[in-house]
Amino acid sequence: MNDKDLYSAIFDIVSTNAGKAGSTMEVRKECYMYLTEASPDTVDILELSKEEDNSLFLEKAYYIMLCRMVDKKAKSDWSDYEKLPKEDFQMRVINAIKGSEEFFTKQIKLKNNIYSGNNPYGGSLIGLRGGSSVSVPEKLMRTYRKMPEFVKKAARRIMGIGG
Amino acid sequence: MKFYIDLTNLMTVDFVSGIQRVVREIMIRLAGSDEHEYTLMTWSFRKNAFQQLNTEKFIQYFTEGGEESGIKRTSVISQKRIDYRDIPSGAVFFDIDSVWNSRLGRSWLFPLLKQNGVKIVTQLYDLIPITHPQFCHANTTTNFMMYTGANIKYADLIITNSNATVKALNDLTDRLGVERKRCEVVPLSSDFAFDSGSSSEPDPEVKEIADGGRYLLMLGTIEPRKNHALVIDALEAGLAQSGMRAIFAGRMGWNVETLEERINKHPLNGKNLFFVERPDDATVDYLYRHAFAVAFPTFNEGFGLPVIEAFMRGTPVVASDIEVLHEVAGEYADYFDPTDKDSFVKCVRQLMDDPELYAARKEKLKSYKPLTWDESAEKMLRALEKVDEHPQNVPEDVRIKQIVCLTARNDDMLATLPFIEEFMPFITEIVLCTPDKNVEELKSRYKGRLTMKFLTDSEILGGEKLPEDHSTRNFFLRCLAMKNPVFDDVFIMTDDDYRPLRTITQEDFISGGRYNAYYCYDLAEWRGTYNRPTSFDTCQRKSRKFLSEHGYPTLMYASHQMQVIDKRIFNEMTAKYPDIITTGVCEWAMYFNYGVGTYPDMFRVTPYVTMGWPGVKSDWNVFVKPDRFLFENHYDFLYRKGQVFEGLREDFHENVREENQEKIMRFSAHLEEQMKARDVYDAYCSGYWLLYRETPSFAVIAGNENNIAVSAPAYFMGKAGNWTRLPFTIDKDIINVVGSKEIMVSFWFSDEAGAPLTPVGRMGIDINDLSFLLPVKSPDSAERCVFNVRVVLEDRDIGASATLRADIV
Repeated sequence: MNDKDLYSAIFDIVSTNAGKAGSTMEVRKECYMYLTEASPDTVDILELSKEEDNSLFLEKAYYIMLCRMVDKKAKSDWSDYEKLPKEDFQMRVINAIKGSEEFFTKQIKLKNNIYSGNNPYGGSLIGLRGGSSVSVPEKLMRTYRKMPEFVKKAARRIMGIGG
Repeated sequence: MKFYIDLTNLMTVDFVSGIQRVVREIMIRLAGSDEHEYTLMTWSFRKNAFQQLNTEKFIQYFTEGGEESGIKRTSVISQKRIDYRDIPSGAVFFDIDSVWNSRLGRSWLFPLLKQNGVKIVTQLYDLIPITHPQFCHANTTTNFMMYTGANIKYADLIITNSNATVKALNDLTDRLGVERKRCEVVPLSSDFAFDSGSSSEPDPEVKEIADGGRYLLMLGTIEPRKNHALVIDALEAGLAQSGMRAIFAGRMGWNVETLEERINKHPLNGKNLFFVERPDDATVDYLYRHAFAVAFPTFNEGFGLPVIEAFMRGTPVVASDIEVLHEVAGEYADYFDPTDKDSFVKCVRQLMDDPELYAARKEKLKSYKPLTWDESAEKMLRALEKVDEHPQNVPEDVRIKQIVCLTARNDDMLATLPFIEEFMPFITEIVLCTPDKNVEELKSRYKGRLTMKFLTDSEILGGEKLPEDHSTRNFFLRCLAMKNPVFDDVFIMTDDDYRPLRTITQEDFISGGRYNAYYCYDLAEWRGTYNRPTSFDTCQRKSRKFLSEHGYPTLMYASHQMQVIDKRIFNEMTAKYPDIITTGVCEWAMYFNYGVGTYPDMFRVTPYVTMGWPGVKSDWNVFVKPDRFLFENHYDFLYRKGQVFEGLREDFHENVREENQEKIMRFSAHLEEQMKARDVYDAYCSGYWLLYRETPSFAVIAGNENNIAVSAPAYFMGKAGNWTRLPFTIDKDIINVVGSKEIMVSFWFSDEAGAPLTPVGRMGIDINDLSFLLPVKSPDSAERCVFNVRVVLEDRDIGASATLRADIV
């Protein structure tokens, strides 16, 4: 049996066992199967963006970026936005999670982030919801201080700062 | 045996209980023993690798009370980095910790370990999230399903603590229709290094509670599965009125908000019902010793440590009437139905109302002899050793004397033969698989010491037609040739341009009872040179597809060097999959991945030892760096002016040994330059991640059927004059929605005014491989400039561009 079929069959068995106990699975199978193939430290946003269902996208994004289920409060908050067009919703979710203190501690890299500020779907909606209690410039300074010297120098030159 | 153990969880939790206690007790004993070699590790996401723990500090920290030992937990972690690829073939990766919630998911890690020939042993504590998901947090259930799947698929041995867990695992594998796993049962011991003679005192407040009257003790995390509610129901049903109390000691777990509120607001709280949060060892010991009985109304367990811990302190236990607790407690406990509070009340009252019976229970416990942790660790070690029981190694009497080469190039073959004669004294015979017309010339020109045998194309084909395509023809011929008795069972396979560089012995091919399998890449990541797939690239991709679909590892073994082949395994593979003979897959990838996957004890997966692959550092990123060079993959262009071997001789001559040393030094320096350029790239990626939490990459996406856009990093950084390969993805929608099949990517550096600093690179995209590495050569001098990318769909006349600031260092 190949890996995909095995993981799928296990989900079905657990789902049946939950049903017999009068319970249901909180994670959806599509989300679980997505996780079985995911890298532990890199999230391909382009691939993730293929999800057409906004609520399933939310579930996947939380799991893959924050390593947990979307909590009840967040689910309720996001439900107001689920009727938005897919790209709008996805951008808000990705940028909100990315801007959060919780994500900051996860050491996860985003790849092919089509919703990043300088990319076609990015722009003015960064950090609309959630986000860290630390302001963006302060967060940048904190990360800047951790960089090796030659990277700092390059960053200063790119940003047009003297030295 | 070498064991590698991931102890990330133990090193990060701030409250050692349950599984972490087991891990602690077992590991301080195993790691402290002289038998075998133990590498303790913890995973670092920042470094994307394991970090080794200092074993002495680890043992001292966990035997001398943690921080009280004077050692900080962080100092136990050394700076030594261990990539998962550093875990050697034949070593054992032992998963003893509660790793299912680890971000380093086993569904990702285990296939990678397996393809490197690492064995996997897992301590499986229970299958509760599978059998009883209603008792578990959703995160745990999700993670545990993946963990269980990975173990069913890849673990070589499962260790459990009870036969009940083995039965649960067998039930699961039977339901899945897969083969049952090899299992060993190792019972756990009871507690700690703590003994009653210790000077540590219990918490005085808790002591006062305990001394206040008879009580039932429940120790452990407050969670639905443990069924604390039953005990509260029993108190309400009359046990409290009879003077019985209950002390719950542990920490609040998950999904217990209602229970927590019930405990906190209960009218009996502070009188007959108490919650002691996170008691220390001395307090736990006191609670155990002075309890009337330990109540264990759990719905399911993997073992049931509190039972053993109670018995060791002479405290009776009333336990759920479930299989695993009968296995652990036997006739020493009293049992009740965990779904029926009256059954529980009756069980407790029996002891309360009959002092003689109670005294008999306590007396009987004097004869209880559980395993000590030393004994449990000893049994664990013996169980671990079983993973290597009856290894199917290469027989000791195998002697290699034959080299086999498939060649149509007489000059190249004849130029290579003197190197074989000089540097491989154990080889006495060569079999040349060659077109019929080449035989006479070879016979007449070759004057060396090797016995030369021939297997011509007509003899191999026996009337079958030769496929047109080079790589299809190659594999087809090899498969047919392998059946010919002229081949020894075990021989060295080579191409006509693989040259040994120094004296090589059989031990470079077979050692420690294993065939060395020299790999150079992972097929899953192979992108070829410039994404214009050669016949070689196509056959690697076909191999990857077949191997991954059939559950085999996917390393690249076309390492352009000599390798040992066991003909019997090769023929077994083609007999099992006869259709592959005409599919143009790679013989090296197929043979070695099949072999490693099927006979893991017969192979040692190890990095390749070839110079000249890649020929030039711009061809592709080195995936694994050779730590020595035994072979040269000969390219004549490398000896031309301006190339790495300029001025040196290609042919065999009397000073070849000395000149080979020079070649090795030059090529090593050449490779080192590529690695240094990679250091700059890695620093760029690290810096980029610190700023943006992203890895720099490009993507081409479709807005709709008439427009596209390029998603690019905010900036680029590269080493002057050197190559970088940037991840580039073309979204499938470009093909499916926009409908283009002719995609051209152009890229160049310019100054800020737009004047080009480098020639324009162009790359046509293979629509069957939309994820590739864009090879970018930085300008020759360090400066601040602009990197330009333009993507054009030539059949739709649609384009998009991106420009980004570039810093060349």
